[in-house]
Amino acid sequence: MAGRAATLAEGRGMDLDEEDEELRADEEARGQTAFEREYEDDHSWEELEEDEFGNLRAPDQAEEQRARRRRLMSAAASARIRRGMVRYVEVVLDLSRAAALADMRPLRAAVMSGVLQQFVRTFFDENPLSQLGLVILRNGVAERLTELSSSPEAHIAKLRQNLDTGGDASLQNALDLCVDALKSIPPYGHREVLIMLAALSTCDPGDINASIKAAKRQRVRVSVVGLAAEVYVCRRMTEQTGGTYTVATGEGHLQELMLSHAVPPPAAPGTSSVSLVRMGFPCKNPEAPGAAAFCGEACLLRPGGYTCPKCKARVAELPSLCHVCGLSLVASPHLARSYHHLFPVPAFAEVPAAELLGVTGCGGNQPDFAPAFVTGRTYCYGCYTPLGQQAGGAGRSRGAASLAAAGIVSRCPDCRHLYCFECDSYIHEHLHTCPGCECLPPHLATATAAAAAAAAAAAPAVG
Amino acid sequence: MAEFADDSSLLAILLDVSPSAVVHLASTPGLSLQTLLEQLLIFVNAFSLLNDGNRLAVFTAGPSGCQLAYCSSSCLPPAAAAEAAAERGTAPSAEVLKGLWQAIAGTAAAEKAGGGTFAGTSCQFSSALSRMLCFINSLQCRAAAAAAGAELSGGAGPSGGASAAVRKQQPMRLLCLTAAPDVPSQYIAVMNSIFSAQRSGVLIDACQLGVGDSSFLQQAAHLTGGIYLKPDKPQALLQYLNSVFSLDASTRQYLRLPGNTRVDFRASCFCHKRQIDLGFVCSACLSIFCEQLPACLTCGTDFQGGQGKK
Repeated sequence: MAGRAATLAEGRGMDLDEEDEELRADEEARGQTAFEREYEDDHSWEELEEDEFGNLRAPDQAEEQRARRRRLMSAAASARIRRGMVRYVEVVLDLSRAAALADMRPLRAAVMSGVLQQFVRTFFDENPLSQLGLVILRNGVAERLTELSSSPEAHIAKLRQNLDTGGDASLQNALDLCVDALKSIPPYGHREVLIMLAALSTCDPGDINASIKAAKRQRVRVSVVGLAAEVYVCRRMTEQTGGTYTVATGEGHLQELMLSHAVPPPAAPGTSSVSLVRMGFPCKNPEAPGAAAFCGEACLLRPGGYTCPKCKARVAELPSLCHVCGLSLVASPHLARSYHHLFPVPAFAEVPAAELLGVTGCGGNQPDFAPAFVTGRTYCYGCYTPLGQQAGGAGRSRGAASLAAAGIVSRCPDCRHLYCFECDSYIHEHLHTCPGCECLPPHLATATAAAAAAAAAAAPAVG
Repeated sequence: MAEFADDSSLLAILLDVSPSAVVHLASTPGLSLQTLLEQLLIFVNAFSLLNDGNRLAVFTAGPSGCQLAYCSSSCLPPAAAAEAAAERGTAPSAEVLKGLWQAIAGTAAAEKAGGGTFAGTSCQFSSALSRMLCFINSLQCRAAAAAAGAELSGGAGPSGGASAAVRKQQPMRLLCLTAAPDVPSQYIAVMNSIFSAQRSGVLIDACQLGVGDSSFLQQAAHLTGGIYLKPDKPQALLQYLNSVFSLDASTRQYLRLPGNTRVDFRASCFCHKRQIDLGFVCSACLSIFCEQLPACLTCGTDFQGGQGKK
């Protein structure tokens, strides 16, 4: 640890080798491996550049970043469509003997369980009003691990205890069990089954086509993430029910594929009826020891908790269903957590390097009272990193080259501010708010007007 | 390995310099912008003295936007830091003061240029918060890259390097010193920022100097595990700053600090802006209504029969 701290400190006087290391580490942090890069043109060696010391420089990162931006843009473009915000998902984890293979370290089952735990957390982050249940495939049968519920920790705890593998996988049993469980959910909910399949075969008691038809009739969307290779029956199942079928090429890819299912999917027309759902917004009770009451179904005597506004029962946590009257209890932040799907940040447009030469100042267009270190430069509106290659001055020298943020520069179409790649992806993937658009004068903020109008109403009363 | 090697931390301070805040400060007995800045400087110095590795960034938020007034040189990319170190003197407090006055003067100039249109307007809290998070995010990215690089050159296995780097990251905190009231239209942006901070493990502390409580700041502190404080005696601000906000998260668990009293999580309906504890939510767009409607007012969806489901 001390060694690392020392290296961190030396980082300021970084030499070129370390810079290369940094690039490589950067790449790794994003989970990209060499074979994932697109080698469309055969002349990839031509991209290699030498620096003044004869060392090879890593090929241009801009292309990779562009590929990632393309994904972001497609996500942003699809954001306007209606989504299933209230989801009921049964996740099926294949723990047949195929999951005991060690082509993923240390075991497929361990990798799958790790990815699934991450998925469960992300799922409830993205869909706070949704519910999730776990089913395990083992020894030719489908076992229910957890019932549909909205507590991530309960799922994860159960998942950790159950990792024995063995026997065959049975897709039909899993499908029947899940469809049966999803029958009883309210009509406004979106019914989904997500299968993590390690096996290449299925051992079914009957005709799986009948089960697929039944799933289709019940409007259950079945998606499969495969680990080994594409299997026709999965392809058919997902096509019939409107789901997606993907096969992971590695651990990083598996994670990416699973996490893509955490985002609410577009709602196919007619899959579920939209209705007004009755919900309660309870207040938190004081944590004082004198205020203890019996909480939840288990009747634990404890302070805090929330009181159902309809029947005055105490529940321990939100979001949940009142165990007495069955009312959905949520807090307004839970609803707010989903609003970014409804009011997304517009996709940023890439700015060619030539255009950057003329502009200076914060975000490229605003005269800002900049700190001394950035005067006379263009810098990212978000993080104050200098952008682009500067014309004149030190030009090609080492200092100027490392001053400029590696990679591409983009511009928000609404507020016209410039952002570096890091901020661009952070704003679209995590923050969901453009800092520049937020301080537009009201008459300019046309694009965000709808969001603002809705927000004005959504805001809890102040004071 | 759970804690950072030394107890250093990064503190990003947001100072509200909007006209309404300045007016409010001026009307508070024993506190003015001048004394506020003086007290803040003492706090900033104390914070930098606590640990050599402590890093500081000061932002100001006004009605025209948010600006970086000062940041430690270790917050900058290495090359820019070297350049900045050459340009600036040695005393950080002087730099902080200079940056703050510059920002305040800039806000005043912008107000004059705008013909006094900013009078009474609040600060762009959402913009400031999101910009600070962008700044912190870039620091985190850089630290993770450096740590992963060190791991690689150290010859250790690259597996788990990134996650280890994330776990050992320097703790980061935001301190909001605001006096302006909440702006309801910023609700979504502020909540998005809060969730983002929560996810990246950034604590949001808040010290509300204005009239009334700030619902935004209360929720921010509650959701990210920070402290929300509304000082009873704003003129003794320094005391509050030094005794409550100078401590990092790991120290706080050993102390009895003023807790978050009560956070209001009730929603208000989209149709009448009434505060409700029992309402109806559109399952397509999650709009909140206080009564049953034939169609959603936000997304226009027709509810078949308009019957609320339990």
